[in-house]
Amino acid sequence: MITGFPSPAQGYEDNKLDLNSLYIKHPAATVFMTVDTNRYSSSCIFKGDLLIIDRARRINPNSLVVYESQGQFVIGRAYGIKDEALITGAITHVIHTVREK
Amino acid sequence: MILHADGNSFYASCEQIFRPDLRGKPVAVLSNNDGVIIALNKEAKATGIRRGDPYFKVRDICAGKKIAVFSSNYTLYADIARRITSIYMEYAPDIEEYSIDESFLFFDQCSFTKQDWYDIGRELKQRIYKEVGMPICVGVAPTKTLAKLYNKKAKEHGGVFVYDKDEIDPLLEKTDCGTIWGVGPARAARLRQRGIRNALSLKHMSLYEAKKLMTIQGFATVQELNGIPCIDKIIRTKKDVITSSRQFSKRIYDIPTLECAIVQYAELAVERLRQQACECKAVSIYISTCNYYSDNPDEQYSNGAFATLPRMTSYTPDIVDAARTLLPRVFRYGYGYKSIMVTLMDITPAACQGNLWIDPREDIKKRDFMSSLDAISQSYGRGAITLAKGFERQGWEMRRSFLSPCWTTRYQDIPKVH
Repeated sequence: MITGFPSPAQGYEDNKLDLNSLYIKHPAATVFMTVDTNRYSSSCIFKGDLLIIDRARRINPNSLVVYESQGQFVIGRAYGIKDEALITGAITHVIHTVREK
Repeated sequence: MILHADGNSFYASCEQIFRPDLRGKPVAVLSNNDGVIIALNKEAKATGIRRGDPYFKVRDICAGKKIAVFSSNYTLYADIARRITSIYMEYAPDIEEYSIDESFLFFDQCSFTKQDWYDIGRELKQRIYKEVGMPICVGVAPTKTLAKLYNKKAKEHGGVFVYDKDEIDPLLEKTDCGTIWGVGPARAARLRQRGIRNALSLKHMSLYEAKKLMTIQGFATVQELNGIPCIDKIIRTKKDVITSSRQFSKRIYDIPTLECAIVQYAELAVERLRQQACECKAVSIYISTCNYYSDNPDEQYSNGAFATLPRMTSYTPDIVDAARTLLPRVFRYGYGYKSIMVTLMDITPAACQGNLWIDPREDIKKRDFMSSLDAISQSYGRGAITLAKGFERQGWEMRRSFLSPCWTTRYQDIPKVH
């Protein structure tokens, strides 16, 4: 049995906000990586941060990218990397979890 | 035109994507239970080991030549394949995923020039490598058989090779007919007896003779070599039987351990059933010692049993219970069991017909329970919630000593930046 008044919001509902749709433009080409070092803190990237990397995004000289160096993934600006083939992809977002002391 | 694309040493390449330390290094992938070598990249092939070699025989060579060895990680391979397919979809709406690493892309437009096809092929190759990290080869031709042949020859042509009607005959003449898709060694031997060695003479074979010698499939192959599409797209419909089976890493002699395995495989099978939005009406189990080569009858035993469920269902506890109670009927003491198979049968789409005489509220409760369970597995990984019986692992589960992380599908496993 249906009782009561219909919700005044009926017909106005929207989808829930989904961060995937906001942050991921190319799902097939997007990978996540975590930062395991504090040596990028000058770029405000800290240990434990989650990187969203879009491998389909066009790389400009100034793009912040993940690339391969000496068998590891590291972070740098594209202009400093000699071989373009070593670039994994552009970092589009850095997700930092706020920790309370 | 049909474009055939496949990943180069697909499994091995998947293992390398998130391992920058393995660029240019030899990589090998083992079958389930770490039995035999099933994939090698070209660096690993160069060391002399072959696909199909049992791992225990080549273990020392692998260590000596510093080959990186992996257990097969189908979770990773399936995710990489899914990414690649979604890029293919941007090019052709009509795709046949022929296997995990091979796809046919069907194009309707025939106004494209040879150069256009090269451009599409090269772009696809570049994009898949840059965006997913998988090297692929591309062959383009008017039929599936020819597209596969062009793909095979693509490695000598920079990875992309397109059909040309003036070049096809010399190419076929240089091709052994046994390497043509659908011919196989037995048919190749029969063809050779008739003096047909290369693919060009196969192309010129009469259709009547082809059918007589190699059934309707041979007829189709000859047609396809002549540029007439004959082998249709295979549309994979929902399976009407779902099977979940593995071999154990060691022999099992007792009922409780076997029961754990049955519970776990039945759980997996039912999960797949729900993924297809289906329900089933029957379940069967099969246990075996797998001693096919043993002459001693005391070491060989296998038996199966079958149960009909009271109603169509995709409710894990009901199906698992039915499978579990079958075990005492087939189990015999004194044998070392090596494998178990759980099969779900009588499968139909869910909720197309309910039983009128049963309280529907109970059904709804069960369905809601299962969809919450599936949602939890989706976010926390398979096995986050399982039936208690399946949890008592006692070392029988598949041996996967060299399993790589699920880089792209598990939060705990995502790669690290240093």
